[in-house]
Amino acid sequence: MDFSVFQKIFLDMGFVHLTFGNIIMWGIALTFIVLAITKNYEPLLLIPIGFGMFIVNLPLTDLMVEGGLLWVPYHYAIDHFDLIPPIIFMGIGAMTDFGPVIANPKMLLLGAGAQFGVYVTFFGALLFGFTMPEAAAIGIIGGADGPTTIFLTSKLAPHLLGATAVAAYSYMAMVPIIQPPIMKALTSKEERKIKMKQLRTVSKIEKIGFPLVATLIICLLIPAAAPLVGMMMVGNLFKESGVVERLSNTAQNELINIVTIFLGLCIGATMPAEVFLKPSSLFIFCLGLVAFSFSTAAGLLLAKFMNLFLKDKINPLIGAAGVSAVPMAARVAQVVAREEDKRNFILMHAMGPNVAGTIGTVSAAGLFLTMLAG
Amino acid sequence: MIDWGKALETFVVGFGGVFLTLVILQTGVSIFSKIVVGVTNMTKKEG
Repeated sequence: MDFSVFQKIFLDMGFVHLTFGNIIMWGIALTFIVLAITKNYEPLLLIPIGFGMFIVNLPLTDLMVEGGLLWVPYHYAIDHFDLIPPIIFMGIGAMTDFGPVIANPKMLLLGAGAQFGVYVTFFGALLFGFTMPEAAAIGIIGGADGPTTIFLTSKLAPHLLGATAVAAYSYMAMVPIIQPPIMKALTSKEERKIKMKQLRTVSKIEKIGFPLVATLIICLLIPAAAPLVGMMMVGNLFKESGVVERLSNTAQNELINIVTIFLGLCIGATMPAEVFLKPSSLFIFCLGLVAFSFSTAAGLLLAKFMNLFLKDKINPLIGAAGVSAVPMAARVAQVVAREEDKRNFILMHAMGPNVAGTIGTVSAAGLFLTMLAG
Repeated sequence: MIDWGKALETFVVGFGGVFLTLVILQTGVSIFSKIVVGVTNMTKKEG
């Protein structure tokens, strides 16, 4: 009897090739899945990311080798052609109401101010020895915008994609934990109690015109941001036009859900132990937290600064919503405001900087691409 | 070796660029809204 066939089967078994790193990665993957299920932390992303991370750390599964099941969507839809982040933006656009920004365009400034953390972290990452494109990919985590982080990282530093994407989505999920202490530290009770005037009603024509005006202005100024801005605004036009309900529904439901499955699995699959378990991943997580904290603080401080000149004061808490993380950051602003005054409703006001933050992060990514790509 | 000159340029052009873009967008949206509201009011008066 030829025993070599048994030897071959034995050597082709995954557990023979297991490493300690693989087991650590299972632990991390399991943590993501448990947090998503028990704490509801970004479950739409963390479950597929966790499972992708888990399965890619099973030896010899070959899902991410050239031609492998997850390599194909990763290579063609994320790494090479960058299709998935813009499609997700189309869905986000179809779900977004830009009414608060149209009613009070000054809120766009808060979305810009909250990008400060992106640039602070850019410098921080350079000090830690990352290259300039890598530093840009790490800095953009401060925008708390997962698709934009993936879009920029896949173009500037694809080898960091797993770490930056997971950091961005983790911090987005942890907005209710990270932001309130910063918000309370930088504002007084009186400031948190400021009640804002009710926003005016925005007409349908204004809502239909906004995606066209925004696309025109941003794409003429930063053409590199066109894939994200263009898709977000076409999604919004589907919604606001009111005549293509099927397209709007598809963009905000089926389409975004399908690409989210592949995005999550593929991002998770970019994290085999030998790639992820490096000091650089830890640095990226720490720097991401710095970026996010600075962005929150900068948004708040800018709101306070604007109050020096405004007749109708704004509640500085809404400045913290200038990090994207829609609508979580706006909800957190509302929760913190209501802790001081139960009758203070700032949610709709906070949605203004919140959606402006998305535009700000996309603009920052576009400018990084213009300056650092190629 | 970090090119601090280029890094500073990236910061100034980047952060400044984001601000400028959103200031221009704010102005654009304000002008657009004023035109829409103005035309709507005029149409209402004529009607």
